[in-house]
Amino acid sequence: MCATIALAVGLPVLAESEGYEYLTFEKQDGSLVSYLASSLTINVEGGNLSVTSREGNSNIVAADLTKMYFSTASSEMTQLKDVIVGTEAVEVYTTGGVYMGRYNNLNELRNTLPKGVYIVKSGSINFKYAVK
Amino acid sequence: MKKILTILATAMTAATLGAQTLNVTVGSVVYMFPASQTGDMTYNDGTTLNIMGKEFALSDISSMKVEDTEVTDNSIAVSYDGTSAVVRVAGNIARYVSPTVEGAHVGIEQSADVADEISYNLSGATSDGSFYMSGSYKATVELDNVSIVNSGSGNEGYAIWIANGKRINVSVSGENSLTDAAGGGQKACFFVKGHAEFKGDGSLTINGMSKHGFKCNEYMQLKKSFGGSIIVAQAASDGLHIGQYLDMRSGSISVRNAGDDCIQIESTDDETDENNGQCIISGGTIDCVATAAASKGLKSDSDMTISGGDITITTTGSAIWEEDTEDTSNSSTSGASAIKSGGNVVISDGVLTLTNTASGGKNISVDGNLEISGGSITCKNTGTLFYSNGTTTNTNYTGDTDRIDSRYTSSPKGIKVDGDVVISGGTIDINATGRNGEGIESKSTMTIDGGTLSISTYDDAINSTSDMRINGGEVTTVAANNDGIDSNGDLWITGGTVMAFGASDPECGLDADEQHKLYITGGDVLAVGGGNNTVSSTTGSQALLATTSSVSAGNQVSVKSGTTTLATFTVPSSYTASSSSGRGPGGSMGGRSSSVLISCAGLTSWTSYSVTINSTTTSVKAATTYSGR
Repeated sequence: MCATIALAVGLPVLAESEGYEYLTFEKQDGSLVSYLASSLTINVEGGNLSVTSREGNSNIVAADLTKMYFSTASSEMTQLKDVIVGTEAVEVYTTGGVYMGRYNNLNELRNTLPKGVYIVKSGSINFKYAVK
Repeated sequence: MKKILTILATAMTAATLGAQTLNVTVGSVVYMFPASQTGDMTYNDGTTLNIMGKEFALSDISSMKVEDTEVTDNSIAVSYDGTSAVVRVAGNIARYVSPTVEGAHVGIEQSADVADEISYNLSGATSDGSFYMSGSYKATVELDNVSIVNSGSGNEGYAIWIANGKRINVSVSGENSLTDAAGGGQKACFFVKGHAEFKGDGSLTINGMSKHGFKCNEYMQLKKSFGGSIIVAQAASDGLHIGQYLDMRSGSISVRNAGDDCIQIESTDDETDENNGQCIISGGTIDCVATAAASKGLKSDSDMTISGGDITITTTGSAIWEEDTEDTSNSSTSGASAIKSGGNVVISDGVLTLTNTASGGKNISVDGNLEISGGSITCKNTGTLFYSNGTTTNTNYTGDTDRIDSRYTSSPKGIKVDGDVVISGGTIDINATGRNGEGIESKSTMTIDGGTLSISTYDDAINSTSDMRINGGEVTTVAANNDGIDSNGDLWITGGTVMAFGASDPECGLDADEQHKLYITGGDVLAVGGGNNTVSSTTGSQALLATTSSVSAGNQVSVKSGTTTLATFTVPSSYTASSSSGRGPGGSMGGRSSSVLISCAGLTSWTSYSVTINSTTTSVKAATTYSGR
């Protein structure tokens, strides 16, 4: 529940912001890659985009891209938000690494599992979740 | 939890960010896309990127940067720096424009799909650059402390070339300077294909090295909000060459060193075009010096309307012989003119100070009619008589012109009008002392209903080819070598105050054509000269007094009935007393005296009155007619 409370505070702040924290690239396979937008520089060299952000440097093959867009949330946040609002299925492990099963959403997880701290996995993101 | 905390931290940071922009650099052009407007930016096959409808070849893009910059929609900024320039395009109009930059020569093609006005802001300085813009939608060009010198042929040699035929707002701020390439084929230093409306409060200095300083194919308007100045420092041809009409409401125009006219307004080919060929001045300041031979200070193909403003024009270029190769009978001399209209001229207000020093030059020349109802007009003309027959030219001709074809001479004149002249107000002060200089000449009729006229000339002070009527106003004329007032039709004086001083015999104070008559039915009239015209009787004739006397500048002339003063006149300081005999009443001759004719209200025929001239009083009997010449 701690995580749920924290996100409930954070997300409205993002929604009201006039700035866009991320520049997100979408690839042909549907995957998303987000970079902190501030001071982001992209140089086009050959068929590659050379991306320099505050997080470091990376390359993207232009031919792999379908689009890019500014977003208030990173690709991971977008996925996390989907998990929280219950539209994404999750896989759950104990902190010891024991697989506890797949649940259609967090609500189902909370109503099914006993009290304790678990590792929740959804897509490319992982986070700890406490059931009280 | 680490992930959650990171998310919270970045969320708080995002709340303080400024206006984010994705700046896409292609060569010297930066397209600035506000992050809030971009939406999805799509890639296609790894070769193109489409942002807000603008298709980029990825291979053309130097870089894309996310920066915190403010972008004004519909704006393009051009910054010059030496021999280079940078163009910054607002993202929302990127898809509508195609900029090119070669050194500091900037060209921008504007798509026909543009639906909102684009503002082009020019700043910085270049020693070899230019700005070109095309399109079919109205636009604004902001001259923002920009200095452009074009020393080559880039963008065809212009400093600024607006090939957009629509309304162009020219906003002038700070100090701006334009110089086009010398020896080029361009039409002007600053050329606008359509119509230009000036606003702002800055200065614009133009050096037209190849032809005109500024040229627009349609109208030029200096809006009331224009508090700045347009200064043509030099031009190979006209300072300003305006294609349809000039509408000047404020600001200032100054022209120097023009190879032809300072300001020329041409008619378009379409006679139905609004105000075609007209000059309309309601405010502002014009300061021109026309130095080229036979050049004009302010010239319009059609009508000219002046209802305000302060106009100062000096002409110094001698008249010329203009050869008409198709019909040599049309060949003639052509003189300079401060103001020249091919149509009618109406002056209701404003201050006009016009000076001519050129041989054969005019202060005002009107092909149509002239109406003056207000304002202040001062004409000083010291030009000499010009003669040319195409082979022999004399800029200081002193011979007799009576037997010379008028096409061969050009006389200096204050105001020359081919049509009718009507003056109902204003102040007109003319001094045309050069040989054959005339004050106001109408080739048709002249009517004076009001105003204050003070005219001193070498030749006739006021002259009309047809009838002249003076119904009001204060008219003072002094002609050193001809008639004070000369009508070649009937001459009627019905009101006003008229003082007319002509030269010695055979010239007159008042003169009408031999086949026509002089009538006086009202007004206060003093006419002095070698003679005066016969005054004929008509219904309502006002009695007059005729005598001879020596009259000098500064003399007081008064008429009394007993102790009652009926009229007083002060002889103007410009009058030089006649040195030869004047013709007295009834044709008798007086020694070294002038013919003096006085008429005013209160005179009764066959009654004697005391006429005092320079403290000498004589008794003169009034009559309703006078037998003069």
